[in-house]
Amino acid sequence: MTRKIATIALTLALLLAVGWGLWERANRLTLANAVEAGGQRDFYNLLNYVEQAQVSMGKSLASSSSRQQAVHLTEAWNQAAAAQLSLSQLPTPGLKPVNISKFLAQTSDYSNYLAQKLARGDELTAQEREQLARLREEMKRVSQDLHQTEGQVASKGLRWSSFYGTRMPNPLKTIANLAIPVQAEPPGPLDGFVNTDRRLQTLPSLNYDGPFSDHLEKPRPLGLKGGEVSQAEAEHRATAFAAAASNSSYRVQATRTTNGLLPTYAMSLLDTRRPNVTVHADISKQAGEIVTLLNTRPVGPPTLDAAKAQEKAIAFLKAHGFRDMQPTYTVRTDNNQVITFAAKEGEVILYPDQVKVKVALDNGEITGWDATPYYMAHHQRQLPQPKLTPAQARAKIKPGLKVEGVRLALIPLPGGVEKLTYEVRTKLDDTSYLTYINAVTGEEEKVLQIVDVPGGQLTM
Amino acid sequence: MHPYRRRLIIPALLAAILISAALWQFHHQGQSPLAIPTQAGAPVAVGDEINLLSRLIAAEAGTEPYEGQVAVGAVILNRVRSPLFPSSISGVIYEPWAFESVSNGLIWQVTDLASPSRAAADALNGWDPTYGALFFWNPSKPVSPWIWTRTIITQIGNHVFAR
Repeated sequence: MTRKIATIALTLALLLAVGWGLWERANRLTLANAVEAGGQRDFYNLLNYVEQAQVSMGKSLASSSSRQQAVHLTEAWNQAAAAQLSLSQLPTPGLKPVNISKFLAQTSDYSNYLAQKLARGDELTAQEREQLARLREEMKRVSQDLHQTEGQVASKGLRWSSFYGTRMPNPLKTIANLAIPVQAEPPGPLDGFVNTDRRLQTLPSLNYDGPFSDHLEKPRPLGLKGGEVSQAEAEHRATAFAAAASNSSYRVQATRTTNGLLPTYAMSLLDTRRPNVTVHADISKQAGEIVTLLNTRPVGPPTLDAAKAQEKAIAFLKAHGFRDMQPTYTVRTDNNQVITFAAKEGEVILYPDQVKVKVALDNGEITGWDATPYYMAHHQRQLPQPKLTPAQARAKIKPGLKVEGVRLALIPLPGGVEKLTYEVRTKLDDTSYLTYINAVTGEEEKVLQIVDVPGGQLTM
Repeated sequence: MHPYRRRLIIPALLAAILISAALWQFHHQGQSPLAIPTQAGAPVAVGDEINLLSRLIAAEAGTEPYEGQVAVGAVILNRVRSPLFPSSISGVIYEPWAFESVSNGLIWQVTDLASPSRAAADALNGWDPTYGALFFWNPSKPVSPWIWTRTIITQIGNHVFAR
């Protein structure tokens, strides 16, 4: 009798286990298919976009009218960018195809640069055509490589979903390897990618006026003048600056160094009067300037308004040698007002030379400082004489827009270029824009839209 | 003890384990819909991206000092501007295997977003304690050896930052 019960119980348990296993397996397969579909979609998108970009680049080389050239280059710009996005979402474990990614982003960016040049009415130089032809050749080779990988994908030699899974624990793996001896490694499914990536690593550098140009990869700080300061000196300056910002006093808790685009001593400072208030300050190694400061205390309900905060920020800037700074835009986050200031030279606002000041709205303390853009960009410039008058700049604005103000501004453009412009603030229906008219040539260089966000405005 | 009963103990134990595993699985399945990713895929606008960024900071650096949280946010934004990575915040965060917390689902389970969202705001406002870092990792955890070939910038808390 007991035996019978035991058999029934065991059979039930076994059936339950098998059923559960099958059910889990069905679940896993559904998910694996969804993942496989995602991987396949990204892969075939990549393949298509690379092929299309190659064709568009070819068409622009073959076309004789600059208007047609611009059209095809614009296509190539979008197609290469889409290819880069598809590539980045492909599951390729243990392999980060950085060089393919960079190649696609640069080709996209370069096509955009050429298209914009044509849109301005300029012609492509022989050198630029050569460069474009070279990039197209490379794009063709990438396309061929991808077709080879496609063969593997189509014959199911490469399953994207197979890359996802929990790794087998090591002891089990050893047992499995003993049971089934390891065969000689067949060529890996991702070898095609590895080879392409390796080849693209050796591409010569590409210099042009665009954000991904190679000459911008490692910008040097232009605003630091003088020799390297000692750590003790940096600590002294940091504590003095933090004390002035909070109207308190500070001691150094720890100092480390950073080795980025702007090398600094980075310090954690402890408030000696208030418990649990820490401030982080970064002092540039060269010249010992205060690059950033960040007070980490949470800020209570506001007692100041934005205008009062701006007064505090201006006074603080003045006290630290930044006399002629123009507040540009401002945003409120978590009871802090962050105000971005730009340097001024005479009447000209220098947008590249920015300092951000963060003011706590509960007690008016300076809780943040970021002069990184200022020290990266600020230098003695030879500004050109404007050839246009403000009225002439105003006349360049599209009819129908309401002009709300004109002022001179130096603006940064892609590729590290700076242009002297008239900044014209305009309004169309309920949207505000900033239109930048070149003060020397009268060309429209850039349009920004002002977007209202909670607690401030952003430009896009 | 009856010999049958003794022999029964092990199978009974096995069955109990299996049943409890199945029950646990059901229980777990039942709970997961609460933690479904809501921001995945859809294009996010400027104001909304801060939520995504705060979640990633909380999941990757929730126990790190404040500065380390700002630094992780800054790495995401540096990646958005780099040709080596996708050009949007959501693209960077959901890149396959880019972040452990996305692979293991921690990003949808974080609850304490107070400090991470302040850090995300500071990072979006331009603060970058790493001065251009593109990678970060915890040196006490196993990482791909490739990562150590990058130029190390600094260490903040438990994370090494590199370019």
